[in-house]
Formats: sequence, C-alpha cells, structure tokens
Amino acid sequence: MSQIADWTLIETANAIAQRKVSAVDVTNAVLRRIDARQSALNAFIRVDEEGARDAAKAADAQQAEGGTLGPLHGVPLAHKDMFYRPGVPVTCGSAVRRDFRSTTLATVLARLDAAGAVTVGALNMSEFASGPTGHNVHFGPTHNPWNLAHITGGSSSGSGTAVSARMVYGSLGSDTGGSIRLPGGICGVYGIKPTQGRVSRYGCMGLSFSLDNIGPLARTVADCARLLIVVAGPDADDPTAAPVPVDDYEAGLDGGAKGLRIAVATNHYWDGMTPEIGDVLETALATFGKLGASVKRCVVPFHDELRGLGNIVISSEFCTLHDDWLHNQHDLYAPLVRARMKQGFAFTAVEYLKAVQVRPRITKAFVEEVFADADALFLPVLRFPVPKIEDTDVRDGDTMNEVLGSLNHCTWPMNYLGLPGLSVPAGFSGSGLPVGFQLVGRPFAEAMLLRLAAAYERETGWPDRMPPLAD
Amino acid sequence: MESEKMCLQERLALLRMMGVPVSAADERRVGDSIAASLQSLDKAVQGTLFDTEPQTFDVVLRRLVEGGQR
Repeated sequence: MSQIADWTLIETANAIAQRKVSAVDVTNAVLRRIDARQSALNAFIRVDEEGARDAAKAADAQQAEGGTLGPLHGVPLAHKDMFYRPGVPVTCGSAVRRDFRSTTLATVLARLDAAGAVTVGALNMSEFASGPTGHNVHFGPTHNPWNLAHITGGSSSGSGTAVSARMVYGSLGSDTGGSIRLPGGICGVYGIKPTQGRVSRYGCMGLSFSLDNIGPLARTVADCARLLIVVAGPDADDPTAAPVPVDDYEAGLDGGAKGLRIAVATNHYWDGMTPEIGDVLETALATFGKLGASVKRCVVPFHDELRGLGNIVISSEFCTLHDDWLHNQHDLYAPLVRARMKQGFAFTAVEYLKAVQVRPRITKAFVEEVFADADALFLPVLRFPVPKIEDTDVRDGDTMNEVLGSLNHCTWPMNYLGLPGLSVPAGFSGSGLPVGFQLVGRPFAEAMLLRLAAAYERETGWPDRMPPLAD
Repeated sequence: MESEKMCLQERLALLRMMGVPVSAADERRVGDSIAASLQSLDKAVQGTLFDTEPQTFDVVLRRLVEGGQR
C-alpha cells in the first residue's frame, strides 16, 4: 500500500468516507510529509499543525455522529496565502501585509469548509501575485520538486510545488496572467484558470479586478474537477461572480476525446519554440489524434494586441490598489514589484478605459473565429525548458520585462479574453523537468477542457510519476 | 516620432509629480511598456468607440457559450 500522502485527493476522500482511514490519520501523514519536504521546497509560508489536527478531529467526530459528509470531508488542503479568514494572518507574500489579519471569510474558503476540507497552512507566492517565476525576496524562492535548482513558476508558486511534491492533495491559486497555469505546467500538475466570473473573488486579495481569477491546482484531472465544483458558482457577496449554473465536472470525465476538435495555434505561441519542447507537444497532439480527436492548425488572431491591452488593464488596476502603500511604504516592496507597478501610473484614464471598452468586442471576435469549428485551443505553457532559479532572478534589472514576458508569453492573453484555460502535464524534457500544454475553451467550457485532459491522462498516466524527493 | 518622445517625457514627469520615484531603469522600462502597449491599443481601437454597444464583459461571455446564453 502506498503512503497516505501519495494518494490522490479523490482516493483520500473516498478512503475517509469509507472509514478505511481517519481524517486525523490523513492529516498526520500530510503534516509529516510537509515537515520532511518544506526545507527543500519552501512551499509554505505558515503551517498550522494545531489547527489542522483540531479540524481533522472535528471531521472524525462529525463522521462518527453520522449524517451527510461533504465531497472533501477530512481532506487536507493548503492555499496561496491570499485568501482571507477571520483572525488568521494573510501575508499576500509581502512585507507590507506581513501582520495583516482579516475580519472577512473568503467565499471559496467558506465553500471548502462546508465541503469538509481541512486547512493545513498557507502557501508561498510571488509578492502580491506579481511575478511568474516563484521568486520572493521576503519569504525566499520556492523550489521545483523535479529539480530544486529550477523555478516553480508563479505567482501561485507554493501551490504548484506543494501539490506536485504531494505535501497537500490540492490547492487554490489565483491567475491574472498565468499564475495558476504556469506553476501547474512547470511543476507537472493540473491548474485551471476558470472563465472570468466562474469563481467568486470575495475575500481574496486583488491584483487586477478585471482580470483576476481563482482556481484549483491538483495532481489529477478528477481532483481538479472536484475542487472546481466545490468553489465555483454565483455568490451574493461578489456581484462579478457569474449567475451561471455549475456543471458536474466529474460526471463528464469519462466522455473521451473521440470526435472533439482541437485547434493548434501555429503563430505567436509557437514563436521561438525549442525543438525539445516542441517534440513533447507534438507527441501530445499525436496522442489526441490516436484518441479520436481531430487536430487542425490555425492562425490565432489578436496576438499582437493582447499583451499590450492586458498590460494596460493589469498595471493600471495594480497601481490603483497599491497607490497609497507605494507612496508611504515604498521600501517594503521588492524592487521587481515596484518596477512593474510603476508602469501603471503612466497610462491615462482614457487609455485604460479604451482597453476595457474594446474587451467585449475583441473577445467576441476571437471566440467566433477560433471556436467556430473547434472545441478547444491547444497552446504551450512554456516554449523552452523550465529555467533555473538563478537565471530568472532578474529583480528590477534591465532584462526584467524580457524575462518575465517570455515566461508568460503563452498564458497572458487568455486573461484579457476571460476564457478558461487548463494546464495539463504533457511529459518531461530531457533533463527530467515537466512540460505542459494548455487547453483553452469557450466561456464556461471548463467541463469540455477537463474531459479532454482526462482522456489524455488515462492514455499517458503522467500524474503517477513521482518527483525524485525522499522523505 | 518626436511627439511620441515628448509624450513619454510628459508621462514620466507626471509620475514624478505624483511622488513616484523614477530611476533611469524605470524610465527605460516604462518607456518600453508604454510604447508597446499603446501600439497594441492603437491596433485594437481603430476609429471611434462612439457606437460601441453598452454591453458589460460578463454579458458577452455568457452570450458566447456554445448553444446560446446561460
């Protein structure tokens, strides 16, 4: 029998529900795993052993009393340190908020609580979710469990490495330009950026109120689907949460890929593709073909415009939220975060509002062109092998825009478009680091993306491969 | 070209007036970012926005669901 911490989220939830193991046993196993791997990976900002054990005991007591159990009953999770819970510190990966304690409860945490999840701590992240590498000058960089010298991707860096290293069964992150899909693809796990408005943002740290999304990272497609079902849906506390019913994402996972149509963008997203990564992605496409999906190459519109439009919106909203602190607590920000934020002050109100106003028109044209005869758009996560931590520690140097821009080159456009994107483990590079691809769909097509990914997962079995870490 | 250069200098002056410290490196980065982003904006917004439909983004997303609005 494998170690408890190595089980998938679904296996663990089922084992607890069937009384094969207690929530306390599972939580203790996870805490031991965290203790064994934290020093190497720096995934956690805070581990709450006592709170986790208390919650696990309460879960076991509730089960003993009988009654209906939630779909995550007794399952230990940890999230990017940006979700608010009354009285609990939330740093947002920053020095500015190092001692902040909220009085509100994030809707996503309330929903996970109601589903029975046990929270074991808070995960490392890029400062204020600004940065695609996983560097953090205040809490230290996170490390990739497949090779500790390499980045995890960011900004949900702790989520990517903690799930990949099997320190927790799943995690919530946020994505404004790739911050779920990058650590997902770079750490070899699934990460879904849902459709804009699919998941409530009430009680979550904001970076860009137009482009922020909350979503799960998990080791298997089914785990990801279960977490998304729990957190998605309308929310009276968040008027930007879409009044759209939530699909049963788990129910559709066995649908297969046969008959589905995959479009592959040949322009922009493939520019500068290294042969090593290109070969892995072509093998993935061939696998989809073998599974009965049709694969066609296409030229995707608006790639020139999307980076700039997204930059105007994100940087304007980012500096709006930080204006006061940037003036009064300037030195508490990392140089990189300050430098990225300053760009936003240089845009005028008219330029910002133009970028917002054309968003529906651009998105409509993009969807009508790309998805006229396709169910999903296939994109890389990265075009090159996962880089080293030291090679991407650009701080506010001259190469900052270039290095950061190259990392989120393939993920950034989908946030402006508001479309759902799922990063999928595709295999490994020659040096043994994960390679990922994205599946992007029409608005609210998360079920379709998960179904395609599940078919690929069954064929390849990548999630069964373990990072080379010993306890 | 000259007017664009002036425009960038005016933006940097505005940042300084707002009390935002601007280093030489910031000038380069902000300049690069502004130039690239405004080029994107010009390409995306050609002509007037006067007749833009008063739809909010979330409504458009719901209309683009396969099979109709949800």
